[in-house]
This record gives sequence, structure tokens and C-alpha cells, in this order.
Amino acid sequence: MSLEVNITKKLAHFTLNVSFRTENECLGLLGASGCGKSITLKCIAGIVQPDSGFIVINGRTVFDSKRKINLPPQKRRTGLLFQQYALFPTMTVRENVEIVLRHRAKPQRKQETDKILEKLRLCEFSRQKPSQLSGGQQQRVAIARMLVSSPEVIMLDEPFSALDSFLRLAVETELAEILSSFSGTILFVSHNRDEIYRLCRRMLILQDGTTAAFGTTPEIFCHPETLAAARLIGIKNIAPAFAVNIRKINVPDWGVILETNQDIPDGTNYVAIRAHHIREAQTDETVNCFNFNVARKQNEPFRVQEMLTLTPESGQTKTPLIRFISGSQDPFFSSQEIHTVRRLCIPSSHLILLKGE
Amino acid sequence: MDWSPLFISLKTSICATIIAFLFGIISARLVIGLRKRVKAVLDVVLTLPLVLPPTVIGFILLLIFGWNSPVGQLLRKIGVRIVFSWEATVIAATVVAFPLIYRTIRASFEQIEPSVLDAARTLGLSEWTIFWRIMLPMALPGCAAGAILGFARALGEFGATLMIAGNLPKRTQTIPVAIWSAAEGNDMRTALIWVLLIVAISFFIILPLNLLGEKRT
Repeated sequence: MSLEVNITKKLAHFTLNVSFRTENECLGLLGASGCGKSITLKCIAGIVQPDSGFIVINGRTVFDSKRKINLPPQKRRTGLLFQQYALFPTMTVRENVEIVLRHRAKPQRKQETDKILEKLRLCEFSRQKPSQLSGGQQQRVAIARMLVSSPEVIMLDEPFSALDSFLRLAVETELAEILSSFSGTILFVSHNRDEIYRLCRRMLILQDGTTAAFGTTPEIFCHPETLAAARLIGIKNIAPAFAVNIRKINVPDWGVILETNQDIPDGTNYVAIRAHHIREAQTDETVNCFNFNVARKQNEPFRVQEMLTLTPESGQTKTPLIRFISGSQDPFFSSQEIHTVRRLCIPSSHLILLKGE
Repeated sequence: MDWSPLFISLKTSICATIIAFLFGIISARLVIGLRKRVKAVLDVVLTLPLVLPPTVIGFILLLIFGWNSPVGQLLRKIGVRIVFSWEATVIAATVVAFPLIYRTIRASFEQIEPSVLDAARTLGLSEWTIFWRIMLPMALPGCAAGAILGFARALGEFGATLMIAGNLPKRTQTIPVAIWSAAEGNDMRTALIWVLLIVAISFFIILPLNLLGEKRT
């Protein structure tokens, strides 16, 4: 089961231009809101028509602008789980599922409906209307309805965005389990990097309609190559930079010149370091070590966030660096703790070199 | 007192509402599927009878169904005469009731969340199934409201009815025409009875509309 997409479409603020190929996997589409993720899914489902390009599902061309092929959504065999689930409000849970199977003989229809309702633990709600159900239950109905339509591709559009935060992890675990029994391709759209990290082995990052990164999830999370990718996977410290020589890079916003452990590639104009990778310098250590002041300190539930600026003797920091230290502390710091000087290291092994805008 | 205007009015309004309702649903479904510009123009055409003076409607209907018009002559050949017949009251009432029904139904179709219909399409449901099983049930309160408004409007139709159906007692004389006729003849008592009656009927027809609205919000 494969999916090949190569489409362009002019939108109000940018031109959508995505191209990828995926086979029997859960591919994550990560991007900020309004970057074209949902539109991409709608193009694949046949609800929105791209301006040009092609879409091939399991070797079946469902859209091709050159060959003038544009199958209606009914014939594409794609399952799209909408953000708000889009259940049929006038029908009961059972009817919502049964209408998809309306061409089957009655006994078979009943049997299949019973089976899927049981699998998704919906039997007790089968006579209720969607409006009487909780968000998680509504989502299960939408999934049940989608699964009985036997799609070749499943597309999930921000499946957890409409749920209360305490429900999310439970629903996510459940969804992962249901989807593991699906053998085809799954596209998972989200603006939440954690969800993508947990559910998808490969991912694609969309920025203003174009692909900013495409590869395996761990690879992109550890070694993002573009500014957009680094921002979307949640790196806190990103700053413009320029190479001084092949192993040294100047970061004016932080007020430092850093050494790298690899040759700086051409076109590098940003550097990044994850907040938890900044560490205390060891005695005698000198490479990339600087004296910092703690300008501000903030307690988060299970970690402490420090805002760091260079001490006046060491240089001037325009954008403070952010450092995370795990573990909790007394939420009320003494003022002495702030403005203490620390010798910290920005390890070259964790320095990320980026190409930006 | 001759009660025939009451029965003629009710009979006319019921028939007109049914016909306008069917056309209203069909037109609403057609119009929402059209491209924006065609939609705007067609929508105006279908709404015109609502805003035009009833005399204009009556005049146009006379042009269409009059004895010397092509349609009129064709109907005469098969022995049907529209002008000054009961059927003419139905035609006049249908034309003026139609825009209200059509607009109300169209609005309730347009209120349906597009993603619900899109989801139905990706699930493989045909446009026909989507219309009958999803759109109509979802638009049901709107359809009911449209029918009620249309019925009330048909009941009150006067100008076009008078022009095309005339004022023939026991045949084409509806309540509004009877009121006019009685007042013309200085029979203020009869006119007042009809006035009170039509106010009462209209009140109790419109009332469920508001109750319907309350239930939805």
C-alpha cells in the first residue's frame, strides 16, 4: 500500500508545494497552523482540487492534472478523520456506521457494524446521537465509520486538538493501538511535535506550503537542517550566525564565537542548541565555555528554566540563552541565586548548524 | 354569512405551500451547488417575487396564462382555462410563497458544516444519499420554518390573486379578496370578521415558528 503525492496549489498567502512518497507506515506531517497541512489532506481525499501535479494511491492515479484525471472523493478510498469529527448529527452512532455499509446485505451489515462497535467499545452508545457523547467517544465513532469504509489510506487531521488535555494521552494510546491493526498508509497531521515523535517513524515538516524537512523522525529531531525544522521541533535557542573559518562560527545575538566539531557547511546562517544541552563547564574545560549571569529563573512543573546572558566582562548578549535543568526546586528563589555567575559550556557536539530563510 | 372564502383560502394555501415547498427544495439544492456568480444571479431571480409589487406578479402571470398568450392558447386547446379559475389562486399564491420557502431552506442547507458533507463523500456516499439521508434531515427545522412562512404568505396573498383569479364568490374569492370586496361594498361588519379571523389564523401559524427556534438554540 503506497501513496505518492506531488501537488501544487496557489493559496491566499503562499503556494502549497508538497511532494512525498510513503508506503505502509505512519508518516507525520508537522507544521504550524495554516501551513497547508489540512489542505494537503483534503487534496488527497479529493475535497480540494490542486492546481497541478499528481496523486497516486497504490498505483491508482486518483489525480493527474496533465492527464486530466480527477476522481471524486467517493472513488478514492481514502479515510479522512476531521478535526471536529464531522459525524452525522441526526443519526445514532449505529446509523453513522451503517450508512457507510448501505450496499451490503442486511445481516452482513449488522454483523460488520456490531464488530466495529465492539472493537471501539461503542456498543453501549449505539443508540445515542453524537451530541450526547464526549469528545473521545465521538472520535471513536468517526474512526469506526472510517474503518468500515475500508480505506487504503488513513488521514488524521489534528486528531487530539478537540480533546481536553488530560484525555489526550489516553486517546493517543488507544488510537495507536487501533491504527496498529491497519496495514495501509497513515498520514498523521499535527502541530504538536511530541505527538509526531511518539506516533510516526518518519515525518515531513511543512513551512508555508513547502517541505522544510523530510526523513526519519529521530534523525530530524536530532539533526534538523533548516531553520523552520529547528523551530518546529521545539529548539529553544536559535540565532543567526556566520562562519569565521571552517570550524568557528560567530553568533552576534549571543555575543559568542563557537567552535564546531565538524566543518561548517556552505550556506550555514543559523545555529541552535537545545536548552537542556547547555551544561556546567568542567574544571579546565575551555572550548565553548563562557561566564554567564542568570538573568531570570523560572520554575516549571518538573524543570527549572534559566535565562542566561554573558557577564559584562565576557561580552554582550542580545538574545538570552535558555537552559533547562531537570528536577523541581522551591518555586520561590532567593534573589541571590539570580545574578550568580556560572561557567557554562555550549558543547560543540550538540551544536546544530542550520540553513535559514 | 358565507364561509366559502375561508375554505378556498385554506385549500389554496395548502396546495400552494406544497408546490412551492417542492420547488423550493429542488431550487435550494441546485443553487448551493453553483459557482458564486451564477449563484448570485439565479438567487436574485428566485427572490424577485418577494420584493416585486403583487400587481407586477399578477401582470406577468396574466401575460403567461392570458387567453392570447402561447401558454394560454395551448391550455385552451386541451380545455383548461387558468384565468379566473380556482387554479389561478393557487398559481398566484405559489409564486409569492416560493421565495420565502426557497430562501429559508437554502439558508438551512448552507448552515450545514461543510466538513460533514466532505466526510460523507470520503466515506463513499453518493450525492443522492448525502442529500436525502444527511442534508434534508439536518435542514429539517429550516424546511419546516420555510413551509410555515410560505403558508402564511400564501394565505395573505391578495394583489396577484385579484388580477389573475378575480373576485368570483364561492370560486376564487379568498379571505383577503373577501375583505376588500366587503369593505368596497361598505359591509364593514363582514370585513371585520374576516380581518379578525385571518389575524388569528396567521398568529397561530407563526407561533410554532418561534417555538421551533427556541428549541434549537
